[in-house]
Amino acid sequence: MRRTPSWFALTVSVVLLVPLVVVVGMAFNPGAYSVFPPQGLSTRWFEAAWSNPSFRRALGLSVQIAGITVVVGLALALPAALAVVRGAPRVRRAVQAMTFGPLVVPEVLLGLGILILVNRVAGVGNAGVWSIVVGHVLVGIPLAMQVLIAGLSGMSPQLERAAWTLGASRMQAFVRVTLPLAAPAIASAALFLFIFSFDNVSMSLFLSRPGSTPLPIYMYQYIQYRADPTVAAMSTLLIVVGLVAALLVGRLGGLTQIAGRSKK
Amino acid sequence: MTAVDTATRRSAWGGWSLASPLTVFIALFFLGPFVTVVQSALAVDGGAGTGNFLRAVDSPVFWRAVGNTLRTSLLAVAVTAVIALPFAYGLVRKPRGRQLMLSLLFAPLVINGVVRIYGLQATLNLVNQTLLDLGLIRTALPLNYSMTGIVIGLVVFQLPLMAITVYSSLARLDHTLIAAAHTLGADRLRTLLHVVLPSAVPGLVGGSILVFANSAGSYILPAMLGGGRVLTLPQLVYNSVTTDVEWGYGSALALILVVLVVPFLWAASTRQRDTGVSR
Repeated sequence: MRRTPSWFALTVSVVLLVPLVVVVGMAFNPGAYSVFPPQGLSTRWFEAAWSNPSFRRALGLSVQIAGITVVVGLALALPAALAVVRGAPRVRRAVQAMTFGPLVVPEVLLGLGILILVNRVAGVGNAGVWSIVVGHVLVGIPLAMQVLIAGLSGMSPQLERAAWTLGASRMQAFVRVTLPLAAPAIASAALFLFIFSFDNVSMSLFLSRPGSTPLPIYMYQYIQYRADPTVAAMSTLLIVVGLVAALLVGRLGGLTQIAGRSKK
Repeated sequence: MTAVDTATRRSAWGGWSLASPLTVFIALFFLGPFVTVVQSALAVDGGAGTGNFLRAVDSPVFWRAVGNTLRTSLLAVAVTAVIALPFAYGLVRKPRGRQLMLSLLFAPLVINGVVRIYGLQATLNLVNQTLLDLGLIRTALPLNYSMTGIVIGLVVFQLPLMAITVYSSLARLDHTLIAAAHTLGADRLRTLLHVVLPSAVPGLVGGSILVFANSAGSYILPAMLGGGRVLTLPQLVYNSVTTDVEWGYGSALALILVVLVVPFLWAASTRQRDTGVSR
C-alpha cells in the first residue's frame, strides 16, 4: 500500500468544504451585501445577529427542543437498546423492526401526520414545541439506537455478573458497572440526538408555528426576505457549534460506532 | 436462586418491559400519524374514497413534480456513484490521511441544511461571477435555481453516504487478490475491472438505493436550489398543506411519495442483512 494520499479524494473533500468557507468569509464583509471574498474584516454582522431578538429566541428554542429531545430520546432508547442486547431474540427483532419505520418513511409524511394528528386531538394551531420534540425524537431514535446497541454489545455481561458474585444487587451492578462503561456510547447517542434535533429542517417546517420557530426555520424565512450578511454571521455561529459537536463525537468514538466497526 | 441464576436465563419478559416505553412511543407517534395520513388521504366529502388520488393523477403539475423528483434523484445517484467510486478506492488503497479525509467528508453533516444550501448557492453564484469576470462565458450558467443546481446540491449532500457504503464494500477486498491478478499477467485496467469493481458493486447498489430514497424525499434542498421553478413531490406535499391548506390532497401526495421511496429502502435493508454491508 502506497503511503501517498489519494489526490482525488483530497480534492473532493476540500471541494465539499468550499460552501462553508464561503459562508464564513461572507460573514466578515463590512458592506451590507453578501460578497466573497470579503472586502475587509468586520464583526458588525455578528453583533447584528446576536442583538437580534428573534434570532436569539429561535436559537434558544432550538437549544431547548434539542435538550428535551436528548432526554426523551435517551429515556426511550437506552432501555430498548438494553432489551436488544440482553433480551430474547424475539424482543430484539421486534425492536429493530420498530425503529425501522421512522428511518424509512420520509420526514415529509411523518411531519404531516403529526400535524394532522395534533390538530385533531388538541385543536387547530396547538402544535407547538412538544409536537416538534416528538418529531425530532422520532427521527433521531434509529441512529441513537444504533449507537447505543453498538456500544452496549461491546460490553461483556460477565462484568455485571462478576459484580453480583461480589455481592452487589442488580441495580447496584447496573449503575456502578454497566452505566459507566456505557457512558461513551450514551454520550455519543446524546450528541447525535442533539445535533439531529438542532439541525432538523423538514420535520420542523411542518410543525413550527409563529411563536415557536426553531432556528433553521427562522433562517430559512430570513433568507427569503433579506440578503445581508447577517445570515452568513448566523450561519458561521452554527458552523462553529456544529464542528465543536463533531469534535466531541470524534473523541467519543461515535463515528467508528456508526460505521459498525468496534473500537477495541 | 441467586441473582446470577435468575439473570442467566435470557429474560424475554425483562426485554419486553425495557422495550415498552419505545414501543408505546412508536405506536402513538409513528403508527398514529401514519394511519392519520392514510385516513386523511381517503377522506372525501361524505365518506371514504380515492378522490384525492384521482385528483393527483389528473393533475399535470403532479406528473411534472413526479418527473422532476425522479430525474433529480436518478441523476444524483449516477453522479454520486461516479465520484464515490474513485474516492472510496483512493481511501482504501492509500491510507495516509484517511482519517482526516473521512472527517472532512462528514464534517458538513453536523451543520443544518439551510446553512449548507445557502453556502452552496453563494458558491454557485461565485462560480458564475468568476467565470464571467474571466471572460470564459458570456451569460451566467443556470446553476442556481435550476435542476442542475438541485442535482449538484443532492450530490454534495449524499456523497458522504455513498462514499462510506462503497468504502465498506471495497474494504472487504482481499489485497492479495490484486497482487495475484498482477502475477497472472493482468494489467492495471483489467485488474480494476475484474477484481476491484465487482467488490465495489454491493456498496454501489446499496448506496444508490439510499441516495435515491433520500433525494426523492428531500424537501428543503429542491425548494431552495430550485427557486420555486423546479417543483418536486415533497414540495407539492408541503405547498398543499401550508399554502392551500388541503390536507387530504397533501396526504395522498405524501402516500404516493412513500410508495415511490419505501420499496427501495426496504430492499436496501434486506440486502444489508444478507451481505452485511454497513449502512
